[in-house]
Amino acid sequence: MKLNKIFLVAVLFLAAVLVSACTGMPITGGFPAGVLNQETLYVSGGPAVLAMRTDGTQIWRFPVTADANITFFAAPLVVNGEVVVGDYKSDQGILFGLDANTGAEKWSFKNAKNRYIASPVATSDKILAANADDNLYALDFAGNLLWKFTARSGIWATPVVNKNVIYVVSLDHMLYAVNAADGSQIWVSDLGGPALAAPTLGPDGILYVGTLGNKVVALEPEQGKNLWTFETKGAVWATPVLKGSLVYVGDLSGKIFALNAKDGTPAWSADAPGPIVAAPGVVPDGLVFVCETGEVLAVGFQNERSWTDKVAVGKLYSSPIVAGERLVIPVQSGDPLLVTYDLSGRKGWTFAAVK
Amino acid sequence: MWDALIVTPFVNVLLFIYSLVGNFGVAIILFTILIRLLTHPLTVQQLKGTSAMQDLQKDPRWIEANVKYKNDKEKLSQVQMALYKEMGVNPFASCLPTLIQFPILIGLYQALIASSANTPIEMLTLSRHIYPSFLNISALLPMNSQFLWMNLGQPERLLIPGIPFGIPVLAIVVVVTTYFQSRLMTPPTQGDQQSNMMMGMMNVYMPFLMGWLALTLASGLSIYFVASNVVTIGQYALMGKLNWDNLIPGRGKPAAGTAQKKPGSPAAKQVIDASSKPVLPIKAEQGPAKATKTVKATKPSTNKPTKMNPKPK
Repeated sequence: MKLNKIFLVAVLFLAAVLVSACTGMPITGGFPAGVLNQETLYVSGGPAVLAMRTDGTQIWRFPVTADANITFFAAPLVVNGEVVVGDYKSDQGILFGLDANTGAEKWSFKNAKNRYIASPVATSDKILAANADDNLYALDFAGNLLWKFTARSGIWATPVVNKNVIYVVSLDHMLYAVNAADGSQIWVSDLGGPALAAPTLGPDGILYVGTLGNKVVALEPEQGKNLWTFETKGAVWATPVLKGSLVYVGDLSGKIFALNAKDGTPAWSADAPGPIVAAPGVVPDGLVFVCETGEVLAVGFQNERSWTDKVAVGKLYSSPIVAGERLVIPVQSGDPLLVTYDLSGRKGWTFAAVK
Repeated sequence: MWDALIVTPFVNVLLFIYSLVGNFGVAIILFTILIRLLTHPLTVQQLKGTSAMQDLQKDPRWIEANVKYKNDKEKLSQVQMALYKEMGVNPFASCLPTLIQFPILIGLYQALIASSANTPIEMLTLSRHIYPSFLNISALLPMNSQFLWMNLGQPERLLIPGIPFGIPVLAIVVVVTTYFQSRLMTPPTQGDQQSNMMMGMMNVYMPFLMGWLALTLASGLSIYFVASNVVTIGQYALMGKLNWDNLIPGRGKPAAGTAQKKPGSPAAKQVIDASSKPVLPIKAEQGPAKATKTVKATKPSTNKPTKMNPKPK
């Protein structure tokens, strides 16, 4: 009988451990993200891309019915009356060109071999789409390949463009300057750690970029020489925001830093309620940070606390979309998919998760 | 609790090995070998328990009790417990090590998934698993996930010029090694015919299930499946417990450590003479297909087993 009891206790213990194992499984997915174009919001919300009015009503969705083989997590690009958005499925990597008014598919680019984690960006004559298959693809507006640039590892960040130079970071620790005309490399600079988010381009051409190596780095644009490096407390996942003479950045330890753009010295720092993965939204009187733990925090440019709130369910990994007087915040793995606030922190409409 | 006790230490050890060898495929193989070595005492204990149970089931008193008290489960249980006690056999000795190994294997599997970090959320999860004082995640990334012709973060297909589709070589290797592993490790058929049938079905279905997983999941996991199968076969071979005859249909000879008596052999005769109920030892000589047939034949014999005693062929 004693043996039976020991066996029972052992089985129950193992069952408890296994149940906790199931709940601890990582969620395979990306971060829902969106963009505002004039009065229309375009949101990649997992199974579909949505076009919405700023009052929260849906205009169209693509695909019309959910397709298990297509998911979207990179924010769409709106250009020339088209919505360009990349598919997240790892084994196909399709870039779609959709009619911005109807959501109808106009073209698709199927040459990539991995998922689109970064949003595409456009220059005057081409679309630039970075893929996790290590390549940056340049396409014309009909979706035809012009050239591709290959990094040493996956590209998860949107490129930034300054005149004829494209700057793109990769998981391989590098920031590449690429000739926009033909995709040739101009220079490459070692950041000292993988970069997951796009650099910020200053008016003087200086690039500011955060890395998983707990650093914010400033680089001059001609040869990529390091101007300064600031060591943060945690990994920097998000794009830094440049406003006036300060660079604002949040890190995974939940720390917010305001750095002098000139030399990287800290102007001030503050504690957020939780880890920060996304870049802050910029509103007229400050910044709105979202935390992984679901809190929204509005602070002034000089660290004046404005308001804070907690989103009901889900995690916040995506930058708030500033739509006039309204903030639209995508929610990861939660319902609703979108929550909104006015600039004083009053909650507005919500939009249910896409099925 | 699960993450802190199992997954996080596993992830750190796996990535530590990766930091030494610089290739994720090699790291997976070495990590699988390491875990198998660490759990080897449990495997040995499990095999000992299985052997002891098999020996007990061949005991004439056990066989007799099974027949005599077939319709009195309580009494049967009492007699069996008494035999366990008398022969010093722990009925849980073979399954408890398996139960302990089970969460370890699940943890290993989860550590592989967590370490591959193919998506932003997986990357975030991975960054939480790393002990910052032990490993520098920034220096480890990006992972070198290229192993032979495979990208370990994606399902494997071998592209051969002239063939318009990719060949799932790794999935085929997973099916073959899983089949060999399950067949070679299956103990000689004996005792409960229903269990033998189920074991036979498992031996057929499991390789295809594993093959399907290998076909659809990241090839890093398939590398783990293959490494795990090969290491397990090696472990059993070192202990002399491989049942090679199981690879030939209809020839389920006993493994070295669980040797059974051949029909007509002196030892078998001894059992028959002692119990006058040789049904079970003789049935144990049948392969899985024949065992099915025997079940049907022996159904009416339960009350008078001696009359239905089949002649050894």
